[in-house]
Amino acid sequence: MRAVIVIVSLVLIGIIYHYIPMQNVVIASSLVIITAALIAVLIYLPLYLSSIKYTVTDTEIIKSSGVFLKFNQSIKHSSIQYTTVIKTPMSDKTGINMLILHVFGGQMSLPFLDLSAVREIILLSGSTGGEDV
Amino acid sequence: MKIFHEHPIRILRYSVKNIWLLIFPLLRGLRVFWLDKDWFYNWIRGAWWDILVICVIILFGYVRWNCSAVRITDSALIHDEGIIFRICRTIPYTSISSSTAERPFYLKPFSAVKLRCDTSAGAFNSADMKIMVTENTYAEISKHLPGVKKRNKLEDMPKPTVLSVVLFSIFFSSGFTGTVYIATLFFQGGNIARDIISTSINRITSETSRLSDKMLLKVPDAALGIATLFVASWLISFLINVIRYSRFDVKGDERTLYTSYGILTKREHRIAVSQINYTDIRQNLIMKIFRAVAVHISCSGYGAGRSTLPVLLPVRKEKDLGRELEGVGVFTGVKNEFRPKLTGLWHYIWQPAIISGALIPLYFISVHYFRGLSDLLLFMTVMFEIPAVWFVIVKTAAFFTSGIAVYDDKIMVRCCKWSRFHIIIAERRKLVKLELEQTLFQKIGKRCSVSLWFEGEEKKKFKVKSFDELNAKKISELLDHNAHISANLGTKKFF
Repeated sequence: MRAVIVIVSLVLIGIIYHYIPMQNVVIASSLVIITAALIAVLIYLPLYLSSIKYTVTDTEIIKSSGVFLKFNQSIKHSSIQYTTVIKTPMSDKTGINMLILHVFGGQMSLPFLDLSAVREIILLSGSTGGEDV
Repeated sequence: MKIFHEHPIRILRYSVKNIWLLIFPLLRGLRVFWLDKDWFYNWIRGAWWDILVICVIILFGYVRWNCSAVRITDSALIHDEGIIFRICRTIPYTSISSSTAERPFYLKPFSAVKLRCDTSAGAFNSADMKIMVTENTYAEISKHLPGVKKRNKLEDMPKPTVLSVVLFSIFFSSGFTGTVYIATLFFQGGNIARDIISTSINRITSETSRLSDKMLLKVPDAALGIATLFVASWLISFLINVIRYSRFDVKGDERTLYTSYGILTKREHRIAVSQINYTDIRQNLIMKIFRAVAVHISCSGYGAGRSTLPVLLPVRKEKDLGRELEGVGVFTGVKNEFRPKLTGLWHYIWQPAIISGALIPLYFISVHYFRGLSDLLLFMTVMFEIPAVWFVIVKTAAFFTSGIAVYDDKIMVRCCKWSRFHIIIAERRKLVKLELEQTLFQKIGKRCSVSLWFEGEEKKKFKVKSFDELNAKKISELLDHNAHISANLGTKKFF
C-alpha cells in the first residue's frame, strides 16, 4: 500500500510538471502531494493497520477497525454459509491474505491476515475447509 | 479428498476473457490495408504475429484452466482459481440450498456439465460457485450433494403432465394477456386511424389524397409491425418455455426435492427442503376461475438463472395437490383467519375504478372537440375501458380472497400483486420483517395494511390491505413482532 501511494504521488507530480508551465504552481502542488503522501504513509496507514483487530469468541467473530471513524462489526458463527480465501503472491512471507465470510444477507471481509490466522479463524468459527487452505 | 480439474472445454471460456488481445492483429491489418499497395502480400507475410497472439490467448486460457481445481472433501466442495491472486472458495455441503446441473445440447458431445451451487448467502442472481466439470467429476460431487432417497421417497408427489406444461407456458410467457391485448390495439387501432385520417384529408383536397396514400398509409404498417412484433415475441417466449419445461419431473423426500426438465438443455435441481424460504402458489384470474394453480418456491439459487422460473409444479387443479406436498410446505384448504374489513373494498379497487369511470366522460369531452375522430376515440375508449374493468374485477376478487392465517409454526398470506394472486406459505421463523401501514383515511376507517417480508436473496414484499386495526394488532402479536406498539392502533391518535 505504501509503495502504491508513493508511485501514485510521483506520477501525479510528473503530470503536473509536464502539463503546467508555472513553476510556482508545480512546487506548491508537489509540496501538497508530498505532505499528503507522507501523512498517509507515515501516520494514517500505521494507525489504520494497528487499529484492525479480529476477535473470535465462542459464538461470534468481531472486527474492529478505523482511525477517525471506528467500525465494529460482528457476525455469528451460525450465520456463516461459506468462506473465500484470497491469497496474494508470496503471501507466506508478506502475510497479505484476505478471508471473506459469506453470511445471510451479506459478507464480512477480514484483510491483512497470515495464512495460519486464516486457518485458525475458520476452525474457531466452526466452518469447514480451514485445513484445506 | 479428491482433486479434479474443470472440463478442458473451459479453456475456451477462459481464453475468451483475453479476446481483447485480438486488437493487435486487427490494428496491424488496418495499418497494412491503408498504407500499403501490396497489402495482401504483407498481411500474409506478417501472419505469424496474428498466430502468435492467438496462441498467447489460448495459452492464457490453458494456464488459468490449469490453475483451477475442484476439491471434493468429506465436508465441503472447494474451488481454487486464479494465477497471481489465488481464490479458494469453500462451500460446506450442509450450507448448499440448491444445486443446478445443466447439460446444454452443444456440450453433450463433450460430456460436460455446468454445475452451479448456491447457499443462502450472496446476492440474488449470482451463483456462489459456478464450475464446468466432466460427467465423472459430477458423479463424484453428486455423491456428497443431498439426494432423494428411494426408501423415503414421497410416492404421491403429483406428476406434471404435458398439458400442464403447455398451460404453464401459455400463462407465464412474457405477459400473455398484455401481449394479445396490445396486438389487438395496434391491429385494429391502426386500421381505424388509417381510415379516419385518410378520409378526413381526402375531404380537404384531392391532392392530399395522393399524400395520404404516400405518407399516411404508413401508419397502419407501423402498427401492424409493432403488433406482429408483440405476437412474435410472445410466441417465441411460449416456444422457449415449452422447450425449457418439457419433460418436467419432480420427486422428493422429507429433506430434498429434485426437479429436472428441458429438451435441448437438460437441467437438474436439488433443493434442500430446510432451505426453502417460502412456497408461492400463483394464479391469475383465469386460473382462479378454473381453480388451477402453479406452485413456485423461493429457495436461494433455484430459478435464479436468466429467464427461468422457480417452478415446482406447473399448472394443476388445486384439488389435485396431494397431501404429500405438505412435507415441503404446500398446504391446501387452510381458511383465512384474518380477512380485510368489508368497508375496505374501495382501498382495493380505487385506482382502476377511477380510471374506468373517468374514461367515459373523457370520451364525450374529446368527441366534443374532435368530432371527426369520434370512431377512433370510441375504439380507444373501449380498448382502455376493458383492462380498467378487468382490473376492477381482479381487485374485487383480491378483496374477497386476501387474508392471513397463522397456524402451528406456519403463516399463510393470500394477496394480490398487479394482476397475479399469491398464496405464500412459510414457517413463522422465516418472517424477517413486518410493517403496519396506515394512512389518515385508513385511521378514520380504523383500517390498516400489513406488509410482510420473508427470508431470501430476493427481497419481496407481500401486502394485504384493509385489515381491521385490532386484527392487524393480533397478527403482529401472533408473529412475535412489535410493530403494533408504535403504530397507535386502536387509539384515536394518528400522529
